[in-house]
Amino acid sequence: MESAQSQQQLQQLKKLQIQLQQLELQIQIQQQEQEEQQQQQQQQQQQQMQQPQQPEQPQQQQQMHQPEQPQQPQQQQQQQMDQPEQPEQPQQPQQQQQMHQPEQPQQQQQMQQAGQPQPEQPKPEQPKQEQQKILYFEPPRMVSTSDIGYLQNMLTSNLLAVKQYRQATQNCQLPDLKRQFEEAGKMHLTHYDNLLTILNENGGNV
Amino acid sequence: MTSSKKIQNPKTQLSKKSTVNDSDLLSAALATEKNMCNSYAIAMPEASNTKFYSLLFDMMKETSQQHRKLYDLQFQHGWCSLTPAESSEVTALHQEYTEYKQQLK
Repeated sequence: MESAQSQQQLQQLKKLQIQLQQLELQIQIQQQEQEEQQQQQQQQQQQQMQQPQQPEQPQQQQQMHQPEQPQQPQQQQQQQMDQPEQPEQPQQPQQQQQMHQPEQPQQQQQMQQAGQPQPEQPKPEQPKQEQQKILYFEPPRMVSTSDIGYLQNMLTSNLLAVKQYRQATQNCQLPDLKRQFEEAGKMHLTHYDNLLTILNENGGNV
Repeated sequence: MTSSKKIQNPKTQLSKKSTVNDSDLLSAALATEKNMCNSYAIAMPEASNTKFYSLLFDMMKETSQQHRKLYDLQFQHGWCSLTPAESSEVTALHQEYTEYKQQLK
């Protein structure tokens, strides 16, 4: 009884560990998504810079904020000078808005971000659930396509070995050899059964 | 020198009538076990789940032990022989690779 309880506790611990790992992985994935979004935003930024827009904001302000963008080359910055901000435009990324309009409250930016049509970030909760279904920390009990080939190979060789040892037992004269051949034949028969059970118990519920 | 001698038991005499004698049967069995060990070793790294992997591992271990028993039988009956290497060769190899180990420090 005590061993069963301890086993249950162990299983619970393992489950908790797995949940913890899942959470850590989710955090990692979210970080990766954020990085990807930032990259996409930068790409959008670059694309927008190539399209001329109506300049509304003063040039001076943009020049003040240019040094905050060390990653972008000079050419793009010049393009940016020609194409300043329009806060009403829904396609503009958050990063650009922060740089050029620091006086805007953050809440408004978030509202704008929510209103932006971003196909890569549809709803924050749906992708998590999908990922939870996909994530595995150990391959499940199954028979994969590569397993099938090996199983067939080993089944045939075990079957052949059993037949070979039976005939050898009949044909050999020395008693110690006969005993050993019998033992080997039994061993290969059990191996054959083991392989068969793997196919039997996992074949239906892959 | 003793190293030039073969290490071998006296051969167990077999009847020369039958085309396949006990020694041949044992050799065939050894070949079978060896082949099966190899195929298990190839399948193991690509096994999908842990249960399948451990089953393959256990079966390979048993097969290899069986092979060893058959090999011992072969040796007991004097159907295979071993030749010890020259002691000078062994010491030379030991010295060479003791020097190579200095690279790891």
